[in-house]
Amino acid sequence: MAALFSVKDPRGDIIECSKKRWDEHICYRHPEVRGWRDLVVDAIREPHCIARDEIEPGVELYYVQGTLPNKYRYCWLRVVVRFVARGTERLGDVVTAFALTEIPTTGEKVVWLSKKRVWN
Amino acid sequence: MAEQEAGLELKTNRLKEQPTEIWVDYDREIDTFYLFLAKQPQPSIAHYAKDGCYLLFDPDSREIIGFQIEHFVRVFLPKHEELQPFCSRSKRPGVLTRKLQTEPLVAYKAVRNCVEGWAQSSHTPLLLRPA
Repeated sequence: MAALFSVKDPRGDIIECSKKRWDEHICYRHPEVRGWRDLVVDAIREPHCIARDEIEPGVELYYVQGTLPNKYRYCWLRVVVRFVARGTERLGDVVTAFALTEIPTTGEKVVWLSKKRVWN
Repeated sequence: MAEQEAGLELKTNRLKEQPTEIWVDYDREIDTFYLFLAKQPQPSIAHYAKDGCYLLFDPDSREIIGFQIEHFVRVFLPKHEELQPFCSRSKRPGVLTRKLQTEPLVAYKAVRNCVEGWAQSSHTPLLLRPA
């Protein structure tokens, strides 16, 4: 399936998003995300933090704050990625993305934190 | 800025009304249930409440316009008696989803009952922190 974008995260993992997933799932269920493709790519490339979903195996969450436009500008952007093993490596697929007010304090474990970030 | 520092509260007027339109969907890929009080998904901001449930609110009016529930089949359903009628005996997501979609009003009332307390609780008052 053709990738809409492919990007490397700060740990070196490759993450892709198919055009079908972007159009028919992500933007369909979260129409505000439609114009945020580059912001989603940037969130994966330079997140403020990455957390692991403690319930769903292989799912990791990329967070960045302060990059969304206008009325979303104080929100976090959350990009949900599902990883699958490909030989000795793993490949991530973006499954959804949306704006949220705060990072949930339960059900997730931070696995990577940006050194550039000055936290509130 | 003063408004942001003081925090922003969500409005629950839509939850008190009988909905005229409901859109429901289930994403099997990430076990997530979506419900909008509209005929189609609307631009929204998610605010985490509890048990994998996000309140979706309109960024302009701050009115709650829907729900997004993660780990829906795996975690949320088993915890909530109100939703047991939507579980098939096999608990296969596809069967569950069709029933939720064919009876959206019943599904909405059941989900609303689950989250009603949270919408008024201390989880809800918002503080959107500047970056």
